[in-house]
Amino acid sequence: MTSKLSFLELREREVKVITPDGEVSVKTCRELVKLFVKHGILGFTDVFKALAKILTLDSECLRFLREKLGDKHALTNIAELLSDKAEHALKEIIGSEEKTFREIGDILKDREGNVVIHGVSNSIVLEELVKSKCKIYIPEFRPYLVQAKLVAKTLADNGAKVIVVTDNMVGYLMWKGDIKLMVTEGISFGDKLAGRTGTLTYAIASYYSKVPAYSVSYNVIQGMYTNNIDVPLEESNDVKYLSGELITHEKARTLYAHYDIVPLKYFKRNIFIRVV
Amino acid sequence: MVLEGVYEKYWDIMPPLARASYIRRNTVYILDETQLPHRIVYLESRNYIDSYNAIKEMRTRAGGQTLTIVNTMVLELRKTKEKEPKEILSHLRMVAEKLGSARPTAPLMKIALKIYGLMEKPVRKRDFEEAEHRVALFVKEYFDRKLGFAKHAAEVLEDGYTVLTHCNISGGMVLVGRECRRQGKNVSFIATETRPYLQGARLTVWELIEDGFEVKLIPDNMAATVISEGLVDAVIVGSDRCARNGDIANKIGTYQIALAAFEYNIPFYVWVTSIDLETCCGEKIPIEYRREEEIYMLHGKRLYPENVEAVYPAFDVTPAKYITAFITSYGIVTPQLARKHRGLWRIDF
Repeated sequence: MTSKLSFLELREREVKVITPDGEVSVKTCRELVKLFVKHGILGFTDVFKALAKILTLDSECLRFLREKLGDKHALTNIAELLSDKAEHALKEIIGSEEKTFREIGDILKDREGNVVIHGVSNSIVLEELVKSKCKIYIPEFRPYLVQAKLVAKTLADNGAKVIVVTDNMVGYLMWKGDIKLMVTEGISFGDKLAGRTGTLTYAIASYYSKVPAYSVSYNVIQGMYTNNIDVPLEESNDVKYLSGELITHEKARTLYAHYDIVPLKYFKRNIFIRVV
Repeated sequence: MVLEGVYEKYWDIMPPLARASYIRRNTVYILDETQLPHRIVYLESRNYIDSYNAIKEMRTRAGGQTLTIVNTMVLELRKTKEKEPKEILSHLRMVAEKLGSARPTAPLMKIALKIYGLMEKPVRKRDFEEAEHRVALFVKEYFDRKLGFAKHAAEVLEDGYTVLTHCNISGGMVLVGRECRRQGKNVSFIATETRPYLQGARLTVWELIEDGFEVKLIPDNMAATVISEGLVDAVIVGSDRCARNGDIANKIGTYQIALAAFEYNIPFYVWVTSIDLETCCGEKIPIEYRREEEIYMLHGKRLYPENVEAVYPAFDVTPAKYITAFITSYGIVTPQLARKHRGLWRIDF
């Protein structure tokens, strides 16, 4: 792994992922989906790279995604777009990622005050955040608390000033002026961004609270998403638990989505790499 | 009228969280909301310190706080009846100020001093029966108003609506659901979990399921997601304080839900019980910051790694411009209309 802040390593025959529970090796689409669902792979740029790599390793990948997640799922969409070009896309990403995503450093460089990040696990972006000396607010990200357990810890270990907040506090801290900037990452399709769940809530809050928001993404030119109605909602038993403890009525039903589709109009600037 | 009689009369009409504290002789019983949904436990408060701690530690909250203050004032009156009126009033004043200071965002001091004011005159005359009677009338009116709120909330909901709610309105959503049923409307609910104390998951979901309503639980980060997917027809939340300009303070997370509702043209209703005329606007409402441990500890277990810090603002402010209307016990009123007709602000809803 090239960076201490990287949660993903693309190897010849596998993808290594750092999760809150330790390092996991991914060789098949089934393992990849499991990590996506459990937020083991947090940021969409990592998801994108991991999926591109798995497409080259697991010939059944696309069929598996169609069967298990359906045609409208983000992973299926991306896999369809990448299916013949995964190897080419990976080369393109590796060639241009460093240069493009360092731009976030220029945005952070002259900033005073605090930044909130959500769905960010790209090592280049995290490095720029550490260098910036901004105070970094991180929503814990229920149900798995992966941002509190993994991203916040990693950034703090590397010297960043990190404050974890619950997922419902971001709007208020923007309104109050404690948060001056928002950074998120995802995959953009036309005028939409697929980001981790919560991105839409925070993007709207930033828009109305006049807090500039920035997105970092791989831009897939042909998009299939039209709006959030296409995002599959499912029952998730994990929503009923917090750190292994039942937090609600045992008969409670739940709704959960693994990602949001967010109009790019909420962002002041979108930094992206064109891929396919 | 004795206070015990009022609780008896409304016991079956009110859901458990709407009558989360009651008094019997020299004990105030407080439903320990932190134990729900797994256990129904009533704390026994024998004095104002017990009650203060129950409020401070969030064992009771929202409507439960109000009733705990009311009951504790009566309890302290009963304990000091043998003393001189001057001494009794001095003690009650001290108790009111102590209970009123337990938490800063909700106007607890006003409630405590109001109860003191109700008792003051009769106590001077050693007419303790009248003092209790006045408080009993206050509690009766409190319950009747709750039913009034529910009636008016149901008026804005249509058959088949799904209502998104945040945190817990002390039995309010159950009463709204019951009123809709009575009017022949079938409504369902989506509740946010409301970290860190999980009042939505533990209380709202529990009480709605126990009353036979359909409710789905979502993490706090999904409010805009479900709104944007068209799954929400209206949002109803409570409020801990309403400023003179119509800005409200409510459980942390309310503001970002209001913005999502505003963006997608979903009506956002706020259950308002009184207007704080002394607070001009949301910026002047004191927001309680609680201990960061309350964010990352759960039943003695640490949720996050050691080197991670946290902050915990317990409430947030939603500006009036994002509020469709206030639901009051007298009817529905927009913040704009209420501001225009200043007289309306004189009403304690």
